[in-house]
Amino acid sequence: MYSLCLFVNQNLFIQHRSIYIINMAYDIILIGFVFIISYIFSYALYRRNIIKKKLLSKIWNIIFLISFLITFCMGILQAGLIDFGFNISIGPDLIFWHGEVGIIFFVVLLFHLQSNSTSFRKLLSCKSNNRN
Amino acid sequence: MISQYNLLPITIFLVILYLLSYFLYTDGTITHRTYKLIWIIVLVASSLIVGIIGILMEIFINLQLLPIDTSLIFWHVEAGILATVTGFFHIHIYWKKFKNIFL
Repeated sequence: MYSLCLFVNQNLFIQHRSIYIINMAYDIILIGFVFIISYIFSYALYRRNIIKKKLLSKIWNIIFLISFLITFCMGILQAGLIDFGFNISIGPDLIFWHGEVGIIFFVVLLFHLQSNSTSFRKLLSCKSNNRN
Repeated sequence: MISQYNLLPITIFLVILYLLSYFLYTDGTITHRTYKLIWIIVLVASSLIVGIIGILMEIFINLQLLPIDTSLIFWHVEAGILATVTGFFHIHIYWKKFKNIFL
């Protein structure tokens, strides 16, 4: 599948079907913590009737959409470059930011699942009507 | 052409499946609920797989547990393609609600 060494740059190279990533660290805890605190804060504002449920879901849906578009476009670009045989070295920055925005996507995905859990459960139950 | 992640075949296959399910729904063979449920389950499962594998790989990189096996990256990419394509289907299914988030 891979040649002896597919590409080499300062931070990343692929050799013998293994990926080596050097000098790269993802802020999983920091990003996760910031977004969890922000969600709890915004949810508390909703519970205290300071903001409406519509505004709460609108804010988090926009964050979810933006993070989805950024991280998945970066991912599809990288996969497409490899798939179609373009011999362009994928910069470590692209991989790094794909990972960082990916953390945001994953955390907000969990919020999205939590906030839409009622309608999802309704959809799963046989009692819901067909037009729902 | 080096075919590694099957980006185009998976995308075409999913688009055909989606069009088929949409046709079956408009035809009345399957209900709106079934049509929505199928694509939501695919989207949630693929998003969770891509996310969990991605976070796992980031933990490996942070802890310098290298090298990362490419089969892990392979399934991350495959689930990512599935999540991307079904993500756009999800936007199409919830188009009326989707338009309102910008208003």
